[in-house]
Amino acid sequence: MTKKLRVNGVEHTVDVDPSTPLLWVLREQLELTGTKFGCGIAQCGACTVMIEGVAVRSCIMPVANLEGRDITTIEGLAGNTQTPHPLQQAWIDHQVPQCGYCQSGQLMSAAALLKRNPQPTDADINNAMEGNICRCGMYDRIREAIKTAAEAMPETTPEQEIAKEADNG
Amino acid sequence: MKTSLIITALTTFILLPASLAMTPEDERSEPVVLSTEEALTEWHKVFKVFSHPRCTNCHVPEDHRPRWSGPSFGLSEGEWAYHGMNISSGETRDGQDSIPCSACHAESNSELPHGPPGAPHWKLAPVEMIWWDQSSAQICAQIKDPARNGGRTLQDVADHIAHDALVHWGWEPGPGREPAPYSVAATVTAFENWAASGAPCPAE
Amino acid sequence: MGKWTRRAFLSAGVLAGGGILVGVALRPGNRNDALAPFVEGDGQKLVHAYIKIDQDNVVTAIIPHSEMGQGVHTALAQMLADELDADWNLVRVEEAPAIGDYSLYSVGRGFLLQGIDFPDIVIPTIEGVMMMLSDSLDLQVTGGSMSVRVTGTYGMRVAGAATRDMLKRAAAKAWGVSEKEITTEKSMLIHTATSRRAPYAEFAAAAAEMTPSYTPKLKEIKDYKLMGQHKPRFDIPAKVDGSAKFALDVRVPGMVYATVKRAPVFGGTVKSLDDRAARAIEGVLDVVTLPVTSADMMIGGFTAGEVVAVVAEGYWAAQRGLRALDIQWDNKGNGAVSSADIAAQHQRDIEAGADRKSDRSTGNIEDAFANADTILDADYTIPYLAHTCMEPLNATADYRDGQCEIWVGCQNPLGFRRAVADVLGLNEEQVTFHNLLMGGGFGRKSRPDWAMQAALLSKAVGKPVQLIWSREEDVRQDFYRPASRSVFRAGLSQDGELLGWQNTYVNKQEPAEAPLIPYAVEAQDIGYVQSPSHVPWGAWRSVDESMHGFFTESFIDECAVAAGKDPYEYRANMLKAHPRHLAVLNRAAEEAGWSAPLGLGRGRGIALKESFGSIVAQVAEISIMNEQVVIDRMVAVIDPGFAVAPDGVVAQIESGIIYGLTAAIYGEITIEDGAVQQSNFHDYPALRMTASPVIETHIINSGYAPGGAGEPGTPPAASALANAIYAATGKRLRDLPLNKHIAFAEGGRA
Repeated sequence: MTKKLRVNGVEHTVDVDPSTPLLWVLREQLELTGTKFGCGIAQCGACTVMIEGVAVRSCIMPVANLEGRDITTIEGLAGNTQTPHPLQQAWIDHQVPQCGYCQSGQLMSAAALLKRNPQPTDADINNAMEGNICRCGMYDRIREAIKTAAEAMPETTPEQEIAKEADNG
Repeated sequence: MKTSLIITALTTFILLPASLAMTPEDERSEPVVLSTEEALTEWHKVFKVFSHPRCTNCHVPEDHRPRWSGPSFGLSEGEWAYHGMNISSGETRDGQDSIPCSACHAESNSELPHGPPGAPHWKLAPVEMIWWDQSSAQICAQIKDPARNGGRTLQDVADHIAHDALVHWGWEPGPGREPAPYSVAATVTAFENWAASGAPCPAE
Repeated sequence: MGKWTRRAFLSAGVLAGGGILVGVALRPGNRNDALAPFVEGDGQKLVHAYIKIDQDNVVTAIIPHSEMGQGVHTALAQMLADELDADWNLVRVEEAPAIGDYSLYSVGRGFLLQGIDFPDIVIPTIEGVMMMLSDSLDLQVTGGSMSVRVTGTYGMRVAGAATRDMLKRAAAKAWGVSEKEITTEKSMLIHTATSRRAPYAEFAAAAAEMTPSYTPKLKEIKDYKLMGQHKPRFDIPAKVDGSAKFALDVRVPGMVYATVKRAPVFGGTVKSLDDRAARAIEGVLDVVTLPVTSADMMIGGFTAGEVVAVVAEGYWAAQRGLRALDIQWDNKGNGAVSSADIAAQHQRDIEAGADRKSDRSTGNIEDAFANADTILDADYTIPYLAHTCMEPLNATADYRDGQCEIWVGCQNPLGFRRAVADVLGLNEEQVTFHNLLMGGGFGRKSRPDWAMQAALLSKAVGKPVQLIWSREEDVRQDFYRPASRSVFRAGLSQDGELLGWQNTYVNKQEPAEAPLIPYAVEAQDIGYVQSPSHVPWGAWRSVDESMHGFFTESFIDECAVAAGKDPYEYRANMLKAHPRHLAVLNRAAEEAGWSAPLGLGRGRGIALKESFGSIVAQVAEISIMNEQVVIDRMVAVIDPGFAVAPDGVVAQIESGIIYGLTAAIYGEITIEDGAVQQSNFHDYPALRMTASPVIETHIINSGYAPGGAGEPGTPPAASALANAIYAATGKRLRDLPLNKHIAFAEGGRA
């Protein structure tokens, strides 16, 4: 079945079974391999992308329901700029990744958090990131990097963020 | 063969979520007025549904934390845990302030064992509709109180059971989870019979 | 990070044939020019096995270890560049290809001749012998925390220093000055008296003609410029924007996808298979049964049962196909075995004591017990553990015309290449092996079972195949940290002095010294019995050290309590002969504020374990809130000899602690009806952010020979935590996982 998907601002037409989780369409059809497979059942968060700015585990999200919705993957996190997203810069500054495999998902969960909550507390961060497993155990560094990025990001309200999203879309 | 049938059913569900989310009006029988004793038997059926893990795990109090209970979590009667991943829905009851329910709960069930269940507008029931760890009498009083049932008449409640896709998920909970007892239609019938018979509540 | 270009990476044959011997430049007269075609680009001149210097004066370090997140590429480059006096901004890294001659002889030496310092004069001879040994053992292993301590010390530093010497000699000759007057700085050769300066590149060609010294003078610690400094890791930028290529990200034209189910009871075979429903699923291309496979690898061989694979146009179709299979298995007589049976067998075998082997026997243990005022007995037990690397096992293979090209992320490229060649009936030269980034390794990725499956599948379907294991398969077909039992008896004098220490445990693998204790106890009797089961064994981060870290450091805590002594001081008093251990322990107590009292419902636990050449002490600090354990913080101190990349060492300790705590709190693989019951993170949980403690790591640079960092953080974690629980609650937990016996706050098991 043919589906139209808008990923990182680009329109794609894919021919897949509608039950296929978004993860496999991204990786196999669109060759966007930055989004990772970790568990297949939304337990580990490695496959996290944003849909309309909200974190979603792409391994359990059938493409059936995604036509017309804005999908952002790690490859599109920095937008069209050459500058890394403040979270990506903070990840480098704090030397967060070890094996790095979970980090696309960690970054997308963090990005979705900062969209809703630009100045999160430690508890906010813990709650939002609890669905993302890091077997290298870099949780301390992830938390600190999110705080650094929050400080570095221009002050925008969630409403302004949403308006900006709408403009881009 | 069994597996492929399930797949077909799920595919249909994915494509046409509305098809399962409706109890056709013509299937609903006229309510019967019963004796109080018989009406309480009808209520007991309703309570068995409302107190089932498929319902209570998300009808939780103001801690906003969904529960895991029931045999599908490997837990015996009386045992329970908070939803893994330290999930809290926040006051919005849908997690939008932390991690939205919809991050993992799609509009349909995952077909994978232990994959997340899903239905449209997945969220916790409003905080005033607590069923978690409540007695039959407590839930009965609650369901009759418009301040604690979403401002509904009993007929509205019956219609809600009859039509709401998330409520219906309780009977189509996906692989590995035991469904709520009876069926949508049988529950609506029991509820309407109970309501038509004066909606008596059991003693504490 | 360099790696190989996509073009080279996807082309068959570019890397095939020929080869290089690591460190061959360290052996006079044996330079292998065959390396040149494989690592030389346009305008570059090969100087040394480990080093390339190109016309832009860029130095490329060619690293024979896999990057699995431990920062090894950066740390090894620091060692090389420091001795070379290279400009760090002009240093690049490439991972060495899996060419046979690239065998890591230095790792082999580390394994076989551990802890021996060689006089310079005999090194060339030993190198030669070791090279032959490692060739035959197929060593190109990343594991055993070997990278920095062996490859770095014996390889990178020597290579860097030797190259710098050759460059100086070449410049001295060209400038007509004495070599002694030439200095080096930031990849420049300098002759101050004549104000001459030249980049290394200018003399690279001339230097390549020279015979390198195999015993160059290495820097002293005070002269280090890069070693010991924090340098941002090379591999990190690509890991934050999705561009880093893991094995799962390989794309080969025309490839199809596959997923597998191996006999759930280890060693089983297919009795009957009905694949009609699977074949009817759209996108499913084939269903293939793979035979029992085995490989005689360096660290323990293995045999794995039969496998049914579904090959499809995409992973989702393959996964659906797999679930639609109706398979009956022949369990080969193991279909009734349970964890309880295995535990009972361990107990029986220890009690019988038949064929008990000794690890250490000193003093007279019977006398010690006879003279003791108090006898203390305790039994400790631990379950099987899986590795659950974040990246599920996967491999991409392309078999055609009697050749196989394969892409994997693994800890032992050469061993994998041989195993793939063997299972296909090919020579090793007919297998081209590409090693990619690993999403975690932890020991699991030293076993080539899944790579062999991918190769067989490509041969069976005549197409390139990317095999992806489900997480369920990963949990159920692992090579497990073994379940074990460890039985202790201690004899204490009236004033609490430890007179005798007796310990018998089941199942010894490696390293040999893992069960030994550093404490001054005169009579020691430590030994083991082997009690095998059908559950396959595998190296699990720190191997035997993790289990003995829990056993011995918990029991010594019990001895301290029985003696009425402070657990820290009790240990410290028995470490006079081990000043490094004592320093680490003291520092941990100091940093943790050991002597400051904690409130009610709080507790601290301490543990000390040497492993892989490093000594680590940890203090766990916990609170009991609502009858649940909250780990407030972990303080860790490591003496790794010298920390070449200090932030890398800190990160490895953090990682090792979280890995160890995860296992201690939740980790349990159970066997029922011969098969693993767990399947994914919902029933084999990992520590998540909320419950993870703050970790403070401190490094002691003692100046001794460098030790590992990737593993030593794990062994003390479980006992530090269990000892803290005792301190807070009076409850002594001798069985893992701990959450079977006490509740933990947040993220408990479902």
